[in-house]
Amino acid sequence: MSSFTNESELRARLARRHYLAGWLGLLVFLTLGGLLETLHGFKIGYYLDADHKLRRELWRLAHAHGTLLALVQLGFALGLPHFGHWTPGRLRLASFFLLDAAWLMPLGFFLGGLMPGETDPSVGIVLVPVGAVLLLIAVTLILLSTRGSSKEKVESAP
Amino acid sequence: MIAATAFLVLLASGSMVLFQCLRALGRLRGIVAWLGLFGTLATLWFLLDLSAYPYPLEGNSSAPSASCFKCHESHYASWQRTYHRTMTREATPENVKGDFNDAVFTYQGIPSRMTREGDSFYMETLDPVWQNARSPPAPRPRSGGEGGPVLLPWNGGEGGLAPRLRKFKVERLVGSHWFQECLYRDGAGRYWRLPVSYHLVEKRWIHTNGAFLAPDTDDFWSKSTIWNESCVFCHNTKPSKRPVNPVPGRPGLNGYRTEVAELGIACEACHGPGAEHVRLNQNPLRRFRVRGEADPSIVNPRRLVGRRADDICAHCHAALAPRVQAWDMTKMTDPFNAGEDLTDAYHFFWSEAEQAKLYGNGPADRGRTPPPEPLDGRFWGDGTPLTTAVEYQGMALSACYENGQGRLSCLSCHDMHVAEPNFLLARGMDTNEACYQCHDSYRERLVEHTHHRAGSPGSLCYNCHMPYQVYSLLTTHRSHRISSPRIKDSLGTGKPHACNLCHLDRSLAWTQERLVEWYPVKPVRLEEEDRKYASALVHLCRSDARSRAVVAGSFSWPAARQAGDTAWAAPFLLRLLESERYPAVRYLVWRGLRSLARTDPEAYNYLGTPEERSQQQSRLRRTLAGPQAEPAGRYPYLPLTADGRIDEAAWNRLLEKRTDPDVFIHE
Repeated sequence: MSSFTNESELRARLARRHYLAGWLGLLVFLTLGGLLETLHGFKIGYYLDADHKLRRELWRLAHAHGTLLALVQLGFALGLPHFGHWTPGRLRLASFFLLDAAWLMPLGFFLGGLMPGETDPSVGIVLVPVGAVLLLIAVTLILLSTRGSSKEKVESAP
Repeated sequence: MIAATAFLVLLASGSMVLFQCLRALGRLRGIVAWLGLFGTLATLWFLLDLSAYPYPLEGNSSAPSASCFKCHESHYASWQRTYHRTMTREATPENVKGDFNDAVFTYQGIPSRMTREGDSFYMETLDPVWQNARSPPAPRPRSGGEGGPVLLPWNGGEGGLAPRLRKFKVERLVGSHWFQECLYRDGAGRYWRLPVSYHLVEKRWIHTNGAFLAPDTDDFWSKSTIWNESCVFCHNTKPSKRPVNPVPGRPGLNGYRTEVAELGIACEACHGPGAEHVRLNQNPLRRFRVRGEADPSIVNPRRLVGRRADDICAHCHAALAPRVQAWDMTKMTDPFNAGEDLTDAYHFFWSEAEQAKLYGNGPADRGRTPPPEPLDGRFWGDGTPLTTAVEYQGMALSACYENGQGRLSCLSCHDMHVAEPNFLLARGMDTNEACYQCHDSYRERLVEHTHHRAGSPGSLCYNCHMPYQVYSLLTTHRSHRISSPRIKDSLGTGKPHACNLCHLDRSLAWTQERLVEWYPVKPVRLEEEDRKYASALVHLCRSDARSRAVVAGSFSWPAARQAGDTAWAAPFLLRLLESERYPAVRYLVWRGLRSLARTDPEAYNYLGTPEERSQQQSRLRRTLAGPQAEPAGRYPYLPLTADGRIDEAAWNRLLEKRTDPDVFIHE
């Protein structure tokens, strides 16, 4: 079980974790974006040939989801110390799942595009629905945490 | 393998989530939450997996090609480029290729007018009722019979009365590569081929009397077949003829309610009915399960054994007669599906005489396969196919096929999806690589074997072993009978010799001398003309129209012009135009003349009246032939005088020996 007994300390600790994950994710997935643009720039067939349309689409999705979910981490990190009515268990779960989704989904898209068939991505794509379900749960938990947050904020105001 | 990998990935992520649930929620609540989450996912997976089975192929039905696009986008796109797809189309602005901008084409004095009104297309031409009332067409012989009709110009005929014209709405189109034929639908559901077609190669309207190999006729509607009766079977996917005899309320009138799964040659023509395949593969788990393996819900010709794959092509590219007991004669739905044995539904025939026997019109001796008769419209005398849509028989007669133990199939050289639309040859298969697939040893000794310079037309395997001995669609095509060019196969069979389709100024004896010198073959006795004169000229002067068409086609073949001197040809070809009564041969001779002399394409109309053509020939003679004299001895096999002019006596002797019966090639 968690060694954190103070809720605000837990929030601060998780916020730092998400803050770090957000910027790290941005670094990774903006680099991926740069790589994809390089593949465009040098007209690399592995990425641009007509037969590799699925790879192109999946890697773009990996780049887009990775970047967007990194921004979501930053948003969560910035809001967590100030907003939400959390129990420690729900907060840890939401944090875990949000972090999981941030790497599972883009990784799934990327692996799915590595060796796709004519009709479908390669098997790595199974990570995407797993990540999507975890993201859905995390977002639901965050949404549920907003209940009573206004009151709490009012109560904690000086 | 794929399923195992997916399972491991899911197991790893499931374990990770379990660990996180335990850390976040404690042991009991964590396990309950994890079980709730993964229990739901596992149930969904299980239900999806259940619906992926079984493979109920019985009673499979058709799915439109558009439904294939969702998964097979690149294959769909490559099929879109093919002429297979556009074999039959509705007459819409996107599909019509002919000039309907108030274009007028005149044949035998009849002005046919092609117009467009909005998105509808019309052809105004001779009213067949009016024609039949004045000149009932004589029964058309399949072959045989000497001489030809006297052409009747319809304008001014019949006491000076103008012909009655009728405006037909063009409903459907057949063809998009060589010709585009126009179909009119009558009240009985019959689609009639209208008498004027668009020749896409020359970008002009032509009369169908000149589109097929047939002698001149004054029957304006002689080629007006009904699409529902025969065209429908090879030019569409899963056709069902559905005759209606008689049409309700029209006693004595037979009609059709013809249906097709899809107009043109669509996905299911090669892959079989696909409705179940589409339905089953909406399930992503099923797609992963069959990935990289044969999917039993659809036919993949590449995974069939050679003969079954070839059956798919042979369904339209072989001479076939229906095996009546396999057909429901009420609906007359084509019983063949890709992947099945074609002989369950059809007989192959190897001569038109055999075809007649199969249809019950021939002699009673059913035990013997009759060889091609001298005027067969599909096969040369040695059995080699002489027209298109019989390619399978050509391949099947090849030693490569008979002795290849299944290595040779249509798909050895052709590919429906990665190839260029023209002839659908797979990448590299327009070169010697096609033959090197099995005969790799010739790669190193090509010049030694061919006795022709590397890179020259004579060093291309195709030119000797699959020469242009096939006629259809106003042009010549490669034979699909892969064979050695033997002299004896060209004696008495009508089939021009491969070597002399390139070496147009050389005699058959000259060819034989080379073959005997280069290869272990025994010489055969040749007639005087075959020893004395260029084989091409001998055919053009003496042979029937089938051989004349094939040889005439060679004069515009770049390889023939590269192989030998053709500067001599123009005066001879001009002379041949004068005596030619087959419009298709006139076209090919004129095409050859044009390619040799680079003259105005409009200077000669092979479909003009005899008077028009005579005037045009006179003008051409003045501009092209002129006082041309060839150096003596330059052309030892041409009938030339010592001063290099055409030897009239020898020329006339050759022409007098012409056997010119009526022959028909219906492709």
